[in-house]
Amino acid sequence: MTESDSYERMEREDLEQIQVERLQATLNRACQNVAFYRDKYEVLGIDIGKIKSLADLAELPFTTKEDLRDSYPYGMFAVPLKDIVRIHSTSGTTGKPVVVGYTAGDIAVWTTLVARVLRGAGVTEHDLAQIAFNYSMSSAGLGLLYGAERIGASVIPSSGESVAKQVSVMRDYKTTVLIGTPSYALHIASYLRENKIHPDELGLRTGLFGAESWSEAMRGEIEAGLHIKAYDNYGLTELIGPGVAFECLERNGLHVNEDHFIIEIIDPVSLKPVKPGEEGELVFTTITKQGFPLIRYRTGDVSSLVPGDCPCGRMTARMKRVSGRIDDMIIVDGVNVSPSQIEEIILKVEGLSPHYRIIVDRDKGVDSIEVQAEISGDFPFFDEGAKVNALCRRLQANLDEGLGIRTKANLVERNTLERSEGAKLRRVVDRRPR
Amino acid sequence: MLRARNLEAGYGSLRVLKGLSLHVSPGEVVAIIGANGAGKSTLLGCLAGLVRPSAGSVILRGKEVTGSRPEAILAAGCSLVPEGRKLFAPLTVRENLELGGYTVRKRLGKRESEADLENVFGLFPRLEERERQLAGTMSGGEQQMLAIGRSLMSRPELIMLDEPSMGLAPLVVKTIFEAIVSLRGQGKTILVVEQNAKAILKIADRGYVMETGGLVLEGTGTELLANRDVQRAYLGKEYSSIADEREEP
Repeated sequence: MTESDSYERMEREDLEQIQVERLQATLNRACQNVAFYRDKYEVLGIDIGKIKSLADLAELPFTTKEDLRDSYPYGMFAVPLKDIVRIHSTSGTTGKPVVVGYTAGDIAVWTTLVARVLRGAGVTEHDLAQIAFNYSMSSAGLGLLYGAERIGASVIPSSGESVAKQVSVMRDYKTTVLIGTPSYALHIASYLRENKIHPDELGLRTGLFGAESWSEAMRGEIEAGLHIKAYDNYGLTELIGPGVAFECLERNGLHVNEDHFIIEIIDPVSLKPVKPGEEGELVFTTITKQGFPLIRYRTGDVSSLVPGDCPCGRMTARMKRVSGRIDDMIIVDGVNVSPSQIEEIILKVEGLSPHYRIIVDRDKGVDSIEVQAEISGDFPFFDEGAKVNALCRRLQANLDEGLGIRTKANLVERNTLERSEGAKLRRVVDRRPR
Repeated sequence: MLRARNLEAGYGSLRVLKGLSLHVSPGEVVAIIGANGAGKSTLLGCLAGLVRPSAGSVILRGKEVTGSRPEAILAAGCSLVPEGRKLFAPLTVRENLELGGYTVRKRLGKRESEADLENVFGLFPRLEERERQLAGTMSGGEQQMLAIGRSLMSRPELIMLDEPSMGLAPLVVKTIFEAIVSLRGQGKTILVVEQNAKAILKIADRGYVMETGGLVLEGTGTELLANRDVQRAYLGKEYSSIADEREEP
């Protein structure tokens, strides 16, 4: 066990002491160096000297993605640019990208944290880790590269290579660990099927997937398609990139690196903390970041805390796997539906692939949800209209039964819906006028 | 070993400590660095019972000692080596040491106390050579050794040192810092306030950076040494020299 990992096994009281110390130091530094925090707290009449415990954190206002966009590009940096050694940015799929600066110290901490992620999934120096995240601008690929190198694994940065190339590298180099987005893992799995490559021809044993939310059903698909054990990990470029939370071998929630991030879960409407175990929006505060500290950052991701201790021995809090985005929560006729619910239903219908799209629209004041699912490559009758119609009816029946609201099921031909290759995928298209 | 939460202290209307939290784990050497006037000595004063905090708490070896008197804190296993040594100048080296062990002498008996004295002499052979010399006539370095030795005589678990290298020649500073390392080797826990940031961070397990009554950084000695703010403010490095250093392999 390394010195840094001893923090993972600390008694709660000792951990909280460190969290409070680091939080107070972060607040002092942020108010000294970032006009955004200083001005905001001054306007609200907040004295950071009054933040004496983790509970007091609730006295501070949230920081939102909007705030970060308004500060584009460098407004939230807490050190002069000459101290920044790396700049990553978010994809900017939904607006201006968020630009995040790292000091040399931040990179060192990041490396330690991602090493924990990989160790959590049982990766060792004997592994060959193929990183299929697109490295361009993004924090995911490089972060995992540092962590993997730190524990001594051999890294293959296959990045945005074609799926054919990825698979041939996997086969020839005897890759044991695949790292990337879950949807890309599925893409690889279907490539194997189409090209009649048995997964056991590859040496893969473990996969670490993140950067988008993926259901348990999707995990099952990936594991069956690649013959691996698949582990979830969580992070955001705004916070640090990968390295915020990760699954251990127990795969019962993601351990939060609480010695570097304070986790809160709030009700996105009332903005108050939810009851323990209840679902809500994830909020994180960085307590060791130098270049880009964030205080009470609303991630927009939906999760909850897992009660009880983990048999793995880590004492850190666990969060449930992210079930979706707050903004993806679809409210139709006052009923709340999350895309992950729809995904679970699609995946249970034999003959459908895990790729789908949800289109929300409004016609004459009436909301409608269309669920477009892709026919699986395994479905042998894709060109027989009657069998396709039967498949569609089966999906419709399952949606009607599972959701309790009206939807319209539609099937699309295989390989027609957008895949994620490194970037985040938006599965919900809301066409309703705002 | 030691846990302080939200300590506040001041003199009159002057707030010197503005809600400061820190901890020291058993067997650690923890350094506190910071500019003059940041409140470092007031902090040690609060921890040693010399200054009464106006708010916050201090837990020493699991026992709440907030606002306790210095002798109670000493009895709880924490001794302070004050800034400027504060020796008994007209007394000999041996007498100073014996006074340091005064609180435990009765309990330990003569033989144990002699052993403690031998231990101090082992750490600083110079003190044995000067056993009969008057403390006030010794050099600054020897006086610092004596001040540390005197504090050890009460058998503390936690030793707090306030600016131990102040006014000393580099070679003597080295001796003092080596003594700190060997005390850690003996299982002692050490909290040290120090101007010589570079030297102390090299040996410290962790450190805190203090500014105007609060902490702004916490990290391992190595992390803090590599931090640019620390380099600029406390290691006297200009940007150009930092850049030069980074270019080296």
